[in-house]
Amino acid sequence: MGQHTVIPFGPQHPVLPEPLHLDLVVEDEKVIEAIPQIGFVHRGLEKLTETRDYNAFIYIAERICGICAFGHSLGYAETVEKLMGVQVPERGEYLRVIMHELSRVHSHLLWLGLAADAFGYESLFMHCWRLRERILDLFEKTTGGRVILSAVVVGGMVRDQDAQMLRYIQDKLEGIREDYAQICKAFLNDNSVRNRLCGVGYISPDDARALGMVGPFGRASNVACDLRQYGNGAYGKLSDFQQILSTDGDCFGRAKVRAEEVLQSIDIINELIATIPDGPVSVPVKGNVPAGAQASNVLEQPRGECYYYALGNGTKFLERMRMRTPTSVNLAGMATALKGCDLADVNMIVLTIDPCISCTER
Amino acid sequence: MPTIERFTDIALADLLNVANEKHSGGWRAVQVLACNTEEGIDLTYTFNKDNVWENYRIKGITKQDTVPSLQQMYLCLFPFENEVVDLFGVNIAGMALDFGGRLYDVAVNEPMTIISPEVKAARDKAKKAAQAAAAKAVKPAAEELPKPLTDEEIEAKVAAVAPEKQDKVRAALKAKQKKDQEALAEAQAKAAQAEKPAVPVPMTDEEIEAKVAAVAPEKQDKVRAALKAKQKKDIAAAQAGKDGE
Amino acid sequence: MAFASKSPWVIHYDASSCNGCDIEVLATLCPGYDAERFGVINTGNPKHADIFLVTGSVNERNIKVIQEIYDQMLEPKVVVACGCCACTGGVFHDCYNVLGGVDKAIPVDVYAPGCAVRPETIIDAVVAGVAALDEKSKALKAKKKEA
Repeated sequence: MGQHTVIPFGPQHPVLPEPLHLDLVVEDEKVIEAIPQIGFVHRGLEKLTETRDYNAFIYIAERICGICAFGHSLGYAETVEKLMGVQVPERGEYLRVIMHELSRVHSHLLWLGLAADAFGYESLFMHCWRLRERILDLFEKTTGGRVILSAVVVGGMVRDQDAQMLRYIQDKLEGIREDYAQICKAFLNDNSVRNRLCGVGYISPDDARALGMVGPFGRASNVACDLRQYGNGAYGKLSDFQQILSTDGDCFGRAKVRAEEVLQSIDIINELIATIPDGPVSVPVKGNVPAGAQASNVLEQPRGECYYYALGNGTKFLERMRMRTPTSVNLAGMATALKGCDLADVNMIVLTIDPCISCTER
Repeated sequence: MPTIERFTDIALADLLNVANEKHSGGWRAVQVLACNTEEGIDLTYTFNKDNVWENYRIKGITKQDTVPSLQQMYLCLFPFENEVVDLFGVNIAGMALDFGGRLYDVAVNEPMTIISPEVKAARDKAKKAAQAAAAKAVKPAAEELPKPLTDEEIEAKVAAVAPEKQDKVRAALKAKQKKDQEALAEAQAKAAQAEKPAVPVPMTDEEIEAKVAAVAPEKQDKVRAALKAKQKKDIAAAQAGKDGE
Repeated sequence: MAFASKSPWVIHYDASSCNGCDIEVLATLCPGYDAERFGVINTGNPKHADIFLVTGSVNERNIKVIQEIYDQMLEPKVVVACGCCACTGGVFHDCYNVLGGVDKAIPVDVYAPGCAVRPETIIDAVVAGVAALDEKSKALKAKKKEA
């Protein structure tokens, strides 16, 4: 019977891309309890709706998180469009989903790289990020930015992409798919990787449902929570969408779900580029938001379900804008997964929820 | 099938009932959000099952109200409830994971309830503009109505008619004048009424007891206290409204 | 000749950044831009590091963390503020919880603007930081000789 020690983990730690503090109560090498503490990234940007009108606020919404930047600008724009009763043209919706799926590919490749770094496979980390650079090149060619894209406005997209550019995207993605097959093999078939990931941080499907887990974190424990199945926007134009579930429930299951979602996203992009209609990509949105009008919107971001809420007060400034990101609900799941694990596995488990602390704290 | 979002307003006392109902129905808790208004803080709880997102809003929570925590049923709500305590100063009792107001180390206390002078001035201006627009929308109704004839105009019209018809014409014109005057008075009264804000009707004691009986025994005292406080506030508001008349 | 400039080790800390600049800092160390060919290694231990790359603005809670890491680093040391938020507070400068750029907490030697800061700019900033490191190293040596 060992004695309890409290080890502080973070906020500065080489494996954590973001500041998160955990007080790990350990007995010998086993973690008994993990108490999370956040607040290092809190900027308080929801209050900026008082000084930025609904068109200018999209630049703030994008910068909530650099990894999910496109997702946040898309979710925010969709919410304000619901509030004002604006219908985005079809080509605009297709372009939005194409860019969002590219964003999902880049985010999952980023996570795969960080996960490899977390369990010590540094060259796999380098390979994943080298592949990811090609996606960032695509972003730069289409929108001008690598990370913060500013491609969405309330009412549609900022600029159209012509057929030549769309063909170029398809060609590049084919090249990425071939090279990605090797990374997938390293993640899913390699013995040393499986030894590090299998059986670590297990959460049962019932616990996952009770804790309200979302995103790939929940889908790895067989919770069918992928919002793309409901077909909002151009997702409804897909011929067939089956969400990727896994019954493993451990870190390996979460890696598998994300690895397979990359291939699914590439297929979605190819299908939408093949069927994209012609037409305008945006409509102008002017005027005040009706007073007392409420709208809420949900979007399946790379990390899970993101909920947006907007309230109008009759002026150009929103009364309240709220973005609830998937990591905030997954924190409870993370604290549960950490109970009873080895001290050396802590950083792996923390990383498998794909934490985006700047999203959580805004 | 696309997603459906619904909005419903509920009372603070109904919160636990709604949460219990959703929990036993297999609904998932999505989030808690707070909004600063002049009457207090509005809390919105969101639940989801399949493709429906239900948003329940509790309006006008003051510092005297205590909101029960839902963390026993839904642990995943702990960041949101702690955030609401930190940034809006709402009292939430019974949290499983309670950071004691130190979830974020904010530079300013309860920052989301602070309205800076520039923003307040802009909002007052917008409110005045909205009231003026609303008043304008109602007045044309009164102006579109035909103006009732004055007595001199009636006599002038009667004098222009043949002597044997003058009495009949005078009677008809007077009747029309009376009708127009009544319609105009009604329209003006409606316009005056539209500019006065509505006052909530305070609950009766029987209504309070009925609501308390519907709640679990250990929570009845708290719920009764909260409802009595609300009743007192509403009575005071109604009284102030009556005094203003 | 200063030896630190031949292989400057960096320590990176995210202080209330949106992550955009952080992933660009990591991308600079990856094969796409490869700062490692200049001998740059990302370490987690402040006592091993020469250059402190900070991203994001300063808020109430992380001002102490930034100062703690800076104090633990050994002389000569250089601070590079990466991104607009680290330089001046960026687009969030008027938020209630943002105190300002990193220079509100520690002295900054190189400012690298951009939202998100581009990897080319980070490499330029590290090179400029290395030049500053050389100067500081020379000054330290001269002071030791006088003593």
